[in-house]
Amino acid sequence: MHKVYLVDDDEAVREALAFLLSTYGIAAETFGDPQTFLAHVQEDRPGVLVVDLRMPEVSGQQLHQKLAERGIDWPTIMITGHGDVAACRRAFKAGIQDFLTKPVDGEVLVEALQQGFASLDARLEKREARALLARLTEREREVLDMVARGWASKEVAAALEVSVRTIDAHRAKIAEKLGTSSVAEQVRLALIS
Amino acid sequence: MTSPLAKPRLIGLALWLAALVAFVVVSVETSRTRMADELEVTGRTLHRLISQRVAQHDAHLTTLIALSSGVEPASDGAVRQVMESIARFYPRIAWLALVSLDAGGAGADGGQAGGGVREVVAVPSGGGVDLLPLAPEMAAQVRGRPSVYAAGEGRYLLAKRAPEPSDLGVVLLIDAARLVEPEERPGFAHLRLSLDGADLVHLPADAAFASGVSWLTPPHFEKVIDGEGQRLLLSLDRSLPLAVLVPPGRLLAFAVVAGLLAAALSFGLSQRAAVKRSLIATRAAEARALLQERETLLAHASRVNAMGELASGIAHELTQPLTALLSRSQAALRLAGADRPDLALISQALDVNVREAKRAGEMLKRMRDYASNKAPERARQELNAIVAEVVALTRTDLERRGIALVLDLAEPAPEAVVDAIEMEQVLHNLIRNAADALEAAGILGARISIATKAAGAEAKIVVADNGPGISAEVLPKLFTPFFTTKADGMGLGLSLCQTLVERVDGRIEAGNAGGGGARFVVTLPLAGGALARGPLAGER
Repeated sequence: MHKVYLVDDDEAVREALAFLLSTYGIAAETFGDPQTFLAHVQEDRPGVLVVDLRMPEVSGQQLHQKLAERGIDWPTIMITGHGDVAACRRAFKAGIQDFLTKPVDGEVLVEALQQGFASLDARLEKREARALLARLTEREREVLDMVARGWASKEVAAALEVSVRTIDAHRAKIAEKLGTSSVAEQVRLALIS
Repeated sequence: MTSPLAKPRLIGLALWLAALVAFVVVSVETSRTRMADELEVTGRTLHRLISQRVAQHDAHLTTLIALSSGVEPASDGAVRQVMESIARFYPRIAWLALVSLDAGGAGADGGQAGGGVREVVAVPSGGGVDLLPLAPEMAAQVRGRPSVYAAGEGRYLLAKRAPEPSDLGVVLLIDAARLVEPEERPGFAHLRLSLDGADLVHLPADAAFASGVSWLTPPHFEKVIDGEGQRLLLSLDRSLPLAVLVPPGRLLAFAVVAGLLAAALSFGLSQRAAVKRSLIATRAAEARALLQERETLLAHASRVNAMGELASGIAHELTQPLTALLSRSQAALRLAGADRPDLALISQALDVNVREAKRAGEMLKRMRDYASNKAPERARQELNAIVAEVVALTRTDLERRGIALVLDLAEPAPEAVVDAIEMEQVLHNLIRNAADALEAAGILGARISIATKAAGAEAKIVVADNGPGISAEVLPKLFTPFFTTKADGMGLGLSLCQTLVERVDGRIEAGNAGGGGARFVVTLPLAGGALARGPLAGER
């Protein structure tokens, strides 16, 4: 289970939401202002963000942008005191996970969080896949793409005008770099990236 | 210092004095006229009486002449008899004598040349005067006409010669004093009878009328009594004693009556003035009350209007506790639904919820109070608390607009006797103006600072911003009603602020801060520090 980072300037709201989430078995780390969170955040401790849209100095929207600048694209659930349509639209355009109005219903929040967790998992997986694929050489990537299309080594060799043995050598390298000899797994990685 | 009652009193006193003077003048004038008239009447009466008496003397002379030297002269004895009878009836005739004027000095005791006089009959005999010195004059007097001779001691002689050829004459010695009977003598006047300028009778007035005032010409009566040669001058003089001119009793009575009238008049005047003053005061109070009522209405309308502007901020302010309440309640419900509910945790959550609900309630109360239109109620208030209330109302709005609020509140908090809501409104207005100016100018790092301080006998609230400040042409018109620099402004905000501040004997000043930006100072009389806290004097 991933972490929840709760950023709200109102202590009572922070404390109550964290309490509510704890009854669902979700651990929430709370922050009184975006700056503290920004100072604290670590890329290797991913989580779903629950952020108040309107906070003094740095708004939820700005926090989202700053995180994006740092390559952190964890799902963000924006909560706000008033359903401002324009703010909502901007938030979604910026890639916000969900937009909830205060007071937030527990069920709705938990549902949004669960979607957030799924989204975070997917993102992390994608990121992982990308990282693995990034280790491949250009030729290896070419070979993998062809394999993913369902081509046999012979067909690939013919297409690339090299020997089948060369292709096999590439595929062995690919399996080594991606950490799996399963063609199905290799193809999945190629597709999600 | 002039008491408001002094004027009617002065008027009363002046009128009383004027009445007294008028009374004295009229009294003197009427008294004098009356006294002069009295003198005139008395004088005429006396003149008539004396004239009659004097005329009788002449008649006696004529009778005696006729008796003694007529065609058949009566005997001396008969003449004496008549004379005695006359003397008896007319006591003023002191002496009667029938005399013979001997031209040739053939008298028994004479021998004197140039005329002698011999008493033939005298009543009372030997009681008369020596006629000898008068003989030449008597001898020279025209027959048939009486002549008068002074005889001293208030007496005069009246002599008449018989017709030719008789050398007889009759002489009467008249006691002039007895020409006026005692009962006829006017006690109030100085009476004189004079003969050829010499006083015969001199009857002074009674002591009470002896002397009088010198500033008025005393009445004088003078008339000649022309009784057949007896040219007597009757003169009466009357002095004017003050007590008669202005009788003290009447003056006193008049003074008392006039004094009472003047007092009544002055009382009436003062009553009227008091009624008028109280009427004016009542009207002024009514006008003031009406104005105050209107100002209060305007203040309320302005607050309700401002409330609209604050609504979104306040909604946010309420959303926070509601969010916490909802979340915690749902959490508690979930805990309660568990197999082994953690009751301690549930009741802890509910405890916090109660606190949270109260916090929301306070915000609602703050809003309700601010928008209420209850009558202003002055009480001793901590200015810091007023600032805190306004900050609570405006904080979220300012945050949303990216404006920082800096507070610098004096400790201990200065206190002033004000209506808390109205003072909050003044501050809110100033904060709003500052925020609008900051927003319009697009200032980065926009900031509004609010400070409270006590300086001497005054408490101050200073609201300053780091905006563009107030331009020189706007500054003098700032508090003028309907003057505004805002497109959608009414121009009543600051004028209302001024009204509200001045209502509690304070003042409001606008200017620019040293480092740029507008600076408003609200100065209020500092409530005395020694007094206990809480609402007290100051309610009017």
